[in-house]
Amino acid sequence: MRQRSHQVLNVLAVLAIGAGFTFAVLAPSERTQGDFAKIMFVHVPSAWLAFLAFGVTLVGGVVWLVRKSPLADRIAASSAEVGVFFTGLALVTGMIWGYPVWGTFWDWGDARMMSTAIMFFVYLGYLALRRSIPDPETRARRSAVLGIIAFVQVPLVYFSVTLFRTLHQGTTVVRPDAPIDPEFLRALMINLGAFTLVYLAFTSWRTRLARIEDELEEAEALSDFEIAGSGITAPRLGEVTGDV
Amino acid sequence: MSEGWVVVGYSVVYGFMILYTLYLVGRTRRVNRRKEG
Repeated sequence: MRQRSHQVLNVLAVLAIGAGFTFAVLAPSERTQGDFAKIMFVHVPSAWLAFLAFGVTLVGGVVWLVRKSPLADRIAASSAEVGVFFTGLALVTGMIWGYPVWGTFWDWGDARMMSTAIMFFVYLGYLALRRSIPDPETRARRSAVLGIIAFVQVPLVYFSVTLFRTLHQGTTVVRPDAPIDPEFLRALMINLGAFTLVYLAFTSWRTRLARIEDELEEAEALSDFEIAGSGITAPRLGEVTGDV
Repeated sequence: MSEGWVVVGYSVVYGFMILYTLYLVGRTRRVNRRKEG
């Protein structure tokens, strides 16, 4: 049953991506940027999903610290991995959009670009930290703390366009004084929904994988383990007491 | 010219989605093999 719901989610995500692409193609060209602006339909959802993913990592970390729930730790880790994936997409699509519009792929002095890049590397560090700690409880505790602290960057990245002078355009979608064109908004929202489904499909798949890997590790740790070399194994209780 | 960059942008996004899916498929297979073995 659970397997089936995952499959349904995967199929829905693929269909939604197809619908999102169709609406993006059919959306009109923007007045000043022409077709370049259509990169917005994949760039903006990628950035928003990265924020959502890191928010889930934050919540997962808090839940683990309060309840010591292994599921919360797995969801936090899976969401961080998918968040790094979407941050990478936001960076690359931003560069591709920036080159024809601004005349440069990257500006080292731009607050939005630099803060997003720093966020990307900090969450890569989060994933590296998890790989470096073999003990599950220590790993969960340290990564929960890092996941909570690292989330500070999300509002910084979001508000960087209003706090600093940047090449990047300011807030576009949530602006009552200059509302976005309805056709553009529709295509953007459909793509946002599609990317959300992709996020859910990836994160649930990755969480399931993490659960199976944890179970395997636990089973292997419980089985006869070698102490030093292939000839010496841990004694069993019956062998020590002679009660075999 | 303008269409070219848009095509590159969309190809990158969908391409990486496919690559990540393939990574998950490969990892799932490895885990299932470990489970059976």
